[in-house]
Amino acid sequence: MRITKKNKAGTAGQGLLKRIYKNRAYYLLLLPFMIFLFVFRYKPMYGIVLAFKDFKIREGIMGSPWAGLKYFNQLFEAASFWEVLSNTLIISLMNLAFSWPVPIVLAIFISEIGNRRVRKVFQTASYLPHFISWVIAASLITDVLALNGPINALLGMVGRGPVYFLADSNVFRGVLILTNIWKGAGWSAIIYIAAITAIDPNLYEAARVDGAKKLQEIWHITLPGIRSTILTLFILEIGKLLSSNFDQIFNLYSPAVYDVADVLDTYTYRQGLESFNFSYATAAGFFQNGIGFVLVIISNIVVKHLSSGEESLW
Amino acid sequence: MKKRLLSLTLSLVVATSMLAGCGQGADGGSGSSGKEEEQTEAGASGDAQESSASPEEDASGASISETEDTPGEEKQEITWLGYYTSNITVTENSWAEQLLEDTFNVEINPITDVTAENIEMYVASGDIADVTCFSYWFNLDKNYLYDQGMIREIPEEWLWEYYPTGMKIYSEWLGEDFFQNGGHLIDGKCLYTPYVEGKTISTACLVYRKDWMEKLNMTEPTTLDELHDLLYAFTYNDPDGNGKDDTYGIDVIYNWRGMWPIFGAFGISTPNQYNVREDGTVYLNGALEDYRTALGILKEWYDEGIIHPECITDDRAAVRTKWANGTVGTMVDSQTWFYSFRGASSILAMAEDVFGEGTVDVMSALTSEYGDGTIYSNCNYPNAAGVASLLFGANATDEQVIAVLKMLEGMATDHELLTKMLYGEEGVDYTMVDGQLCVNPELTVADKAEKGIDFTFYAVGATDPYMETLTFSQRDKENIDKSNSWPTLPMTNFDCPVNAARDQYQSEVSKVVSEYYTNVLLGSDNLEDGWDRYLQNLDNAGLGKIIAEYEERMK
Repeated sequence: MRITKKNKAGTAGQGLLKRIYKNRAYYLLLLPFMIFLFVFRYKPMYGIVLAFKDFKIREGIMGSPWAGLKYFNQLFEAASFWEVLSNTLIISLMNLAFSWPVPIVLAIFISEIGNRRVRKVFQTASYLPHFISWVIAASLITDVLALNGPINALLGMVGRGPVYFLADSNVFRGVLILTNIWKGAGWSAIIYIAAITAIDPNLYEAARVDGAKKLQEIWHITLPGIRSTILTLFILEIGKLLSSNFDQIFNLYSPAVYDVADVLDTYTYRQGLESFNFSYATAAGFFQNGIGFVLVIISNIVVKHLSSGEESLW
Repeated sequence: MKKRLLSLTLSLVVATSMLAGCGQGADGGSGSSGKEEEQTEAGASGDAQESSASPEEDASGASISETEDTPGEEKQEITWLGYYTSNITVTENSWAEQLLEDTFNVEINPITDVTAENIEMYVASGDIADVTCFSYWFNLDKNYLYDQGMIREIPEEWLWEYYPTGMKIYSEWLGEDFFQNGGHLIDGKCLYTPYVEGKTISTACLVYRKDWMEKLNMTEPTTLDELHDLLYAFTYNDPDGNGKDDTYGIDVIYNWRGMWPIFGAFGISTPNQYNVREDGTVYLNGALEDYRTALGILKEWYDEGIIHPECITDDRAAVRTKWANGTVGTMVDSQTWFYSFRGASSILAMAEDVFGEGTVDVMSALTSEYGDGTIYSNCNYPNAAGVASLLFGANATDEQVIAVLKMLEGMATDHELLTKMLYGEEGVDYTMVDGQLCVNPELTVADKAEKGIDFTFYAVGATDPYMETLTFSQRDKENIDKSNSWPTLPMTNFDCPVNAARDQYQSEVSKVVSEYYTNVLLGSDNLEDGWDRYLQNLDNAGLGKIIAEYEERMK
């Protein structure tokens, strides 16, 4: 029998439905998350239009008059926009260079701990800071880095300091990076630990038989084994280059370090939300996310090209 | 089969909890729309306040006030956005709410989940309560609300008809023409109830460690130079006698008045305030040559080490901590915070609880060698714009507005009722000693908020001399005299609520001013070479446009 296009489509459609029915338990499990994504991630996207409107609350988003690119112009013409943009990029790139690799190293370190109990304790201790809010964490950090705090006391013992860490433009970005690592590395390491666990133990055994040392095992087995995870997270991280950790910076910065730490998120908060300028804030957010989206696509293409099509998000 | 059942159950649980979460969020954000649910909950938990007696009964069981139900007048349901502090709003069915409901013909449905942190989102959602307690710290921008058509006008004649006592008090305090000059008027419309805490008095005060001063054989300063010497001695002469170099003269913060005695010597309040000259030209304090000179003096003091070095990053709470734990010997704060009725949270009590009775005092006015020799303290703009008042949502009905104005009148005329609203129950929250109201020292901010007293429905009535007599101790009165001995200048001497350029550029201008202030103190910028660049940065940030619009609007 000759299969027409229509029949083909019909067969394919029936096949898909059959597959869904066959795996209905899994699809059912997926359903709540699809609903969640739709309700909280896709449905609100229509609000992006706010960036192009003079928002009138009582007329709603769609009923408000169009403003064209007025708020984008305001954003780009703002006196400190370029300073803020460069701060955002520098802090994000520093995080990418210093904070992003730490969870990989930490995961490898944790997975190499032989004693199961010690490993568990260490892992738990490493991700506990993740559960402290930045408001509390900032308070702790402020105390630790105070002029009469323990860090300056240690510096005093070696004849240095005191350093006004939270008001010194030369060291403030370092504080941001280090506190970011302290708070987030343990939590981020979990996904790498999971990936390492999935590596076939026979590979290590074979390597040991062949006389491989620990570092060689890590270099030739562990890292290639988690390469996909590393690249996936790297691509996603690239997409966040114009987003900074608002909670962290907002709770730690002051006018003394605006020149190195005022980023798009904090700037938008002051300029947009505090002034009830929702359209302006949306324009800034749209700019950030638009650039992020483009960066993700570019990095995916680059990774795909470099790995000869083996590694990429899509 | 088990797997399917498990997956089905898990899916249902996740979906149900997610939908429940959505539903809760939607309800929580609603104002008027949540009335029915709130009423049901109110009815179901009407006796939830077990720890407090019903406001209908005092200790003797007698009725404190009768409901003023007028025959034919419908009971008004009113959604109410109140607050205690920026992050504590009204508790549902609080003692004070019931007191208001039982006294007046109203049913109050408080918004319980909107704080300073999410007020923007609440407003942006299109919701606004029938009544909102407007406060400067609540981040509510009345001009924005007006521009958005979110608030309604209050006819002036209603204020005189239904709130005559309050209006009379303001007339006596501020002059007969206070209404026409008030900041509550935008485009000639009254958009919120006139409100002012009291007469035009100093809003700032200077408190100091009297015991340290006496130990160092010094006397209370009378000039700015003597204040400097006192701070120097507090820093370097071991005033606490512990043998350690661990004390400082003072800690100041940028955002709250800063070191106003120095700036006050030049007639300047805070750097971000605008003022108008007699010829109609408007200026920013932070761009004045006098500001430059004052900042130079502050820098000298900072470099000497008599100002706590962490003043750059300290906030008000940090300064108070250093005051209360004996790290600094003087502190700038607000006059309203030394009143004894604040109990343990008073800035005097927080130090005396640690160091003993009489160890701290309020400093009287100083003079200086600068300007006209006077050091000015600052006060709020002397009209009824106030820092807290009531505004009505666009959907509030005439009947609701009138009902609330009658409540205000009730507060202004019934001192017993106002005392209960502000201070709670006698014998529980306060006691009367020799005709003086003494707040229970163990009463916390959270206790007051839960009960709905004090600031919670803050704007419900104007305090008057009767309340001052009732609540101010002899020491309060003496301290008020000392604090009020400082001549005052308004922080800003004009009121021009609408300025589109300010809405767009002020954030940038403030950034430039605050950066320069901190950088000069830290030494990373300077007053000689950096001043012209600073002025240029202010102009680039949009200062000229803001000033031009002010001047244009005031023509």
